[in-house]
Amino acid sequence: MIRHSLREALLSLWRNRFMNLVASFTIAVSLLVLGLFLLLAHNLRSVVAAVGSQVTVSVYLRGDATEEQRDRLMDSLRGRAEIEGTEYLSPQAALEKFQRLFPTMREVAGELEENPLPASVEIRIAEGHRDPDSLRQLAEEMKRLPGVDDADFDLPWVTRLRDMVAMARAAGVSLGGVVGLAAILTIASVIRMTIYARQQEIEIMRLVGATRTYIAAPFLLESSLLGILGGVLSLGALYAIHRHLAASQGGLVPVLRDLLTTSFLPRSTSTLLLLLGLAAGALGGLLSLRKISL
Amino acid sequence: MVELYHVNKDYGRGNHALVDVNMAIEKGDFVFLTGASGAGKTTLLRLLFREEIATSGKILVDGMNVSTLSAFRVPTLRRRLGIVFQDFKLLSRRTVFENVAMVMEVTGVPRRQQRVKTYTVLEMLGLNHRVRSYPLELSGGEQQRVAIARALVNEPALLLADEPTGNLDPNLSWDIMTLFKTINIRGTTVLVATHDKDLITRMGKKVLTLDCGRLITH
Repeated sequence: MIRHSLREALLSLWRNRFMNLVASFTIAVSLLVLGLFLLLAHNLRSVVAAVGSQVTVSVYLRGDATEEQRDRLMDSLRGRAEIEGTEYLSPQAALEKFQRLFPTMREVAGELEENPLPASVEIRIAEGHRDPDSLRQLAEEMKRLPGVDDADFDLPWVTRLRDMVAMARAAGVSLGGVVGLAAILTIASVIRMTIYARQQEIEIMRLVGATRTYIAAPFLLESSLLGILGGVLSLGALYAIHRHLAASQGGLVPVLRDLLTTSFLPRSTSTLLLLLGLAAGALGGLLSLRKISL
Repeated sequence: MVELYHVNKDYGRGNHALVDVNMAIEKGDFVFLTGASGAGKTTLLRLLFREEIATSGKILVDGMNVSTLSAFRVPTLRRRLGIVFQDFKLLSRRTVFENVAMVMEVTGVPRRQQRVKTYTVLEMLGLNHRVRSYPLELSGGEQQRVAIARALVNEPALLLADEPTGNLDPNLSWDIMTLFKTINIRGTTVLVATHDKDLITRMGKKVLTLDCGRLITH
């Protein structure tokens, strides 16, 4: 049974190789579209991860805050799950940091008679707590402590990046989905043509008592193989694009090129693309068999 | 072997292919089904191998209730039957051997057994020198003998033949009928639909006649 199906499927793939290649290409194109967006999302996500570790809440102390108040503040932050670490910045350290970050303003700062920068505590937020609500809550809590002048956090562009990841994925899924649907229908009609071409043989097999499964299996196998082939083609094309862009200069917006070349899809996502190809092929096969009496 | 009780087959719009047909064919019988073109011979045969479903009535074939048979069980029924058609229905891309062995391939018979049984049946039908030929290289009579070999290779309980000699000249037709007689003597029940009156007379077997969908002689 398995040998029969495999032999028939391979034979049929070879006989209609041109049409089959077209069908595989449509699957490959849809998976390539999806794959490009997934690659974008994948690299965007690593950017987000890198940037995310810089999410902090800054607590500014009042000029007249006592040492005791400062210690109490530091004590209250110790051992909390949402906090990855803390750093105390004295006014002097804050000034040095400012001068390091903005070298052109160095002289302006030097001309000041008095250091205008307050002492502050930088709280690095642990992963899983870097959402606006948690940050706002922590900042509010800090503000209520004695000796604290103000607390704020800088988040908006991190969330915007994260939104972009979600958008890239959604775009990939919906665009890929539309093209994928076309691919499934193409496979279905190619397989249906194969079935029509072999109508006589199918009729005879039915008459001598072949089961539906026995008759249908080769066609289903054929369409699934077409799907996998599409998946392999798309992965190959995606990898070729990835390597080509990495090797070439210019041509694309630099940011976009970076997002396509930094790293390739992880193995799980590549496998997913192959499986999607297989699923599209199998679905096309089922669709073509549905309306035909076997 | 075959029993029909009040079988009707309508194709809609007043097209009654079979009207209240009652009949019985005993195990080991050789029966002709005759009647003018369009009398319902082919329809009746198609009901027996469940290519079509009766509008009403009950049909039993080799103990199976064909009228209530689920699609899933149809292959089981057909494996007990051998079917021969006027147009042979051979696969032109397959050799004589493959055309016959296919029946067993489909049912999962081991390769070795397939070979033995195929060669045996082809030899019995005098086709052993044609094993590797393709159907289109054969004469009409030879092609029909291949089709009969295919029908027999599974040792069916019942052989159904729909105008098996319709495309053959009288001499070849007689050869085929003699073949059927031999098969019948070996124990297979045979039902042949034909409108060839001469052949029926010469054979001297039991005859069922259909006229406009009604069975008129028993």
